[in-house]
Amino acid sequence: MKLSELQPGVCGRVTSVGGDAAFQRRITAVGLTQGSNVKVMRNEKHFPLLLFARNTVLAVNRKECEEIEIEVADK
Amino acid sequence: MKIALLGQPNSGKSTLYNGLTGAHQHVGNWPGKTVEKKEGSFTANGKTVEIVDLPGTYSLAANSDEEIITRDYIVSGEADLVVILADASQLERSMFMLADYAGIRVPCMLLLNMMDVAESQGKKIDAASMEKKLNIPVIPFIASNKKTYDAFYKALERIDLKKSILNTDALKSLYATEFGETYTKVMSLLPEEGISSYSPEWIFAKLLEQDGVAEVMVRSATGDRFHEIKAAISHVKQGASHTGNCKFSWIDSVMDGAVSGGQQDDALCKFDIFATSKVKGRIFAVIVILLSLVFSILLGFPFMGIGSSIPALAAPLANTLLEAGVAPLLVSILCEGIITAFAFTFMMCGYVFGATFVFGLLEEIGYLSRISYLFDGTMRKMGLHGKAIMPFLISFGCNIGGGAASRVLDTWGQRVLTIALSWVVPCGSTWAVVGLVSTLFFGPMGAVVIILLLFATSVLHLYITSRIYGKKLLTDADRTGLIMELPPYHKPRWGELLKNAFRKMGQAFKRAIALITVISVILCLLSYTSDGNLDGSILYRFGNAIEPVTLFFGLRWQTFIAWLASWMGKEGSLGALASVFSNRSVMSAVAVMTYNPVDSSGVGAGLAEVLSKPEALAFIFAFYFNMPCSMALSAAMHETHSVKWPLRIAAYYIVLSLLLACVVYHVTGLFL
Repeated sequence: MKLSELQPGVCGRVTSVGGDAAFQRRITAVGLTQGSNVKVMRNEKHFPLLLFARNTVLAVNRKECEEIEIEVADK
Repeated sequence: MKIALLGQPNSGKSTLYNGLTGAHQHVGNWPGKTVEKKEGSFTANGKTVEIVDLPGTYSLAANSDEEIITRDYIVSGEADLVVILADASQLERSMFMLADYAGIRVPCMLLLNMMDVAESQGKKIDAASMEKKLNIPVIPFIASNKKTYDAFYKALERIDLKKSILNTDALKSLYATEFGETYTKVMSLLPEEGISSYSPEWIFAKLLEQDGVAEVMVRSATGDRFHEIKAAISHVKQGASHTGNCKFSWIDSVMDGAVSGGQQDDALCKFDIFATSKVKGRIFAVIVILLSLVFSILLGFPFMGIGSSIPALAAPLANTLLEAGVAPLLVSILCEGIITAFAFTFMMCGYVFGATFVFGLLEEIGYLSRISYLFDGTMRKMGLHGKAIMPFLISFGCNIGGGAASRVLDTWGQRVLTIALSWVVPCGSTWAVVGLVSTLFFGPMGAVVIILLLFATSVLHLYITSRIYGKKLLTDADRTGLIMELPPYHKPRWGELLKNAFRKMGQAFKRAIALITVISVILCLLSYTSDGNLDGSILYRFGNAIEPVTLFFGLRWQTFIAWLASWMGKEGSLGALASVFSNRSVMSAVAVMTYNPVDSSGVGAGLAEVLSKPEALAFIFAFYFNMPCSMALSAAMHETHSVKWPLRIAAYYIVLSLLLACVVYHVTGLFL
């Protein structure tokens, strides 16, 4: 499922980072890569998503989050 | 020895650079590029070290001019040593720069900054263990505390430049595992010794990341084999994400056993749950912003006080000079033109000081990124994103500071567009004039209606301007959404903040004083008459001669001159009005009015006699939407490293302000 569809408090594992190469390079530089764990902190309509990944809180634009595929993890 | 500083934004790079060099620094441009080049020098244990501050970027990908410059400079061999900074309080993520560097065979060392914050998180870092794995010096320190610089100086002294090349064996085996045969195949096709200072494994990663600049380099170095290389990697999808994963695994392996504790709680802290909430968080943010604006103006007051006392020198000086037999025209230029210019510039700099300090504080403690998150949607409507909020906020105090704050944007196109749009935001001085004139003609209630009208027009203005300039300035690469870290809250470093505010103020002063003086002297010459009576001046004759034209826009010659004078500084308009109605020399009136804007009785009576209500409205609109003062223009030129664009945008504002005035004049003329 898409990262943008995750409910707040849900943890996931990134399975695919889509978009063009420039976006991939950008999102990689802040630590969201294939296989990384991510937790959604906030997911409000018309707002960027607030994520927690690699010990950092990140704000990522909603449209960009639609390019990132997630499998839901347990914890 | 020459060293280069490399690090992500917020890694404390500029704090270290300023801390090391002090006053020994100068700013230029990278050849042919719109990117600032900062160079300086310092003395460590008796030896002079030259230092270059590389642009702050998140990685070494060829996404932007900044990154390409950084890469080219590193391998050019100009610097003997690259000093890489990482933020110890967010070590894993901020080590990405080091991981992206791994494979460039230029000597380097790693500085672990913000050790104080890391310690307060309960994090323990064994630098020696990291040194062993990386084969380069790893120095824990605190960029904002000069007492910790000694360890860095010592490391510079004892470093063996030939040996301090980053060990990439572990990274290579990670690539080999992740990409298997693809890796073996590509490595066999690449020149064994790499290309210039880039090792084969670094080139391999960049090829998978579809790095255009690296591809061109490989193509010319490998000739026919390039197609084989391309074919070998063609089946790899999402390469950047895969290599990124390897790089983070490598970082984990470096940190493993060397870093313990300090895992940030994965929930937002209590305050952040409140601060990032949709409604309450936004209300709180608006309150913080309003208070910040008040404080920045209060902080500017002392400077404004000093500035406003400068003109007191004019009269005694003028008398002395006249008695000494100096020509009256020269005395007028000196005592009215130049002294007023200094007073003006000094006072405006007060605003710059206050705004830089207060909003710098918000940024330093980490709250500003929360505001960017909350208002991202608003900024997106203009083709920008949340990071652009800071320049807009500062512009409510002062457009000069707003221009300087555009630096936080990711790309040049975004920076220019942000500046172009932030000029719609009225600065503090604009309010003073608008408040006065609208109350005079329409009473307090009417003034409120006018202000609402101005706001509504501003929204329309922003909409149109963002469409026009968005198309010209933003390429697809510039139209990226927000990707931003929300750093943990920090204690502010007051000394550093103060120093920075003074520095920014000094820079603004230096940049603007020449321009302001020229404008001031020209105005002074145009309004000069030997008997002090304005009727004989060039300005009076010029104003009267073109009044038939300006009246089309609803501007009488007096308000047209006032509109012109606002280029010098927005309060300049009040002074010009005072002058043309009191028949004093323009410049001395500009000076007097600026410092006592309340003392407006003379202007009031004069204005009300001469202007009709539609004409007053036309002036208010023309004035409000005019380009910002020339200091803001020069700040914009400096920030964008372009003369053409700020001038184009200024011309656009000038034309649009007259058009708006014209519409308002003719429409309201129908029923007022």
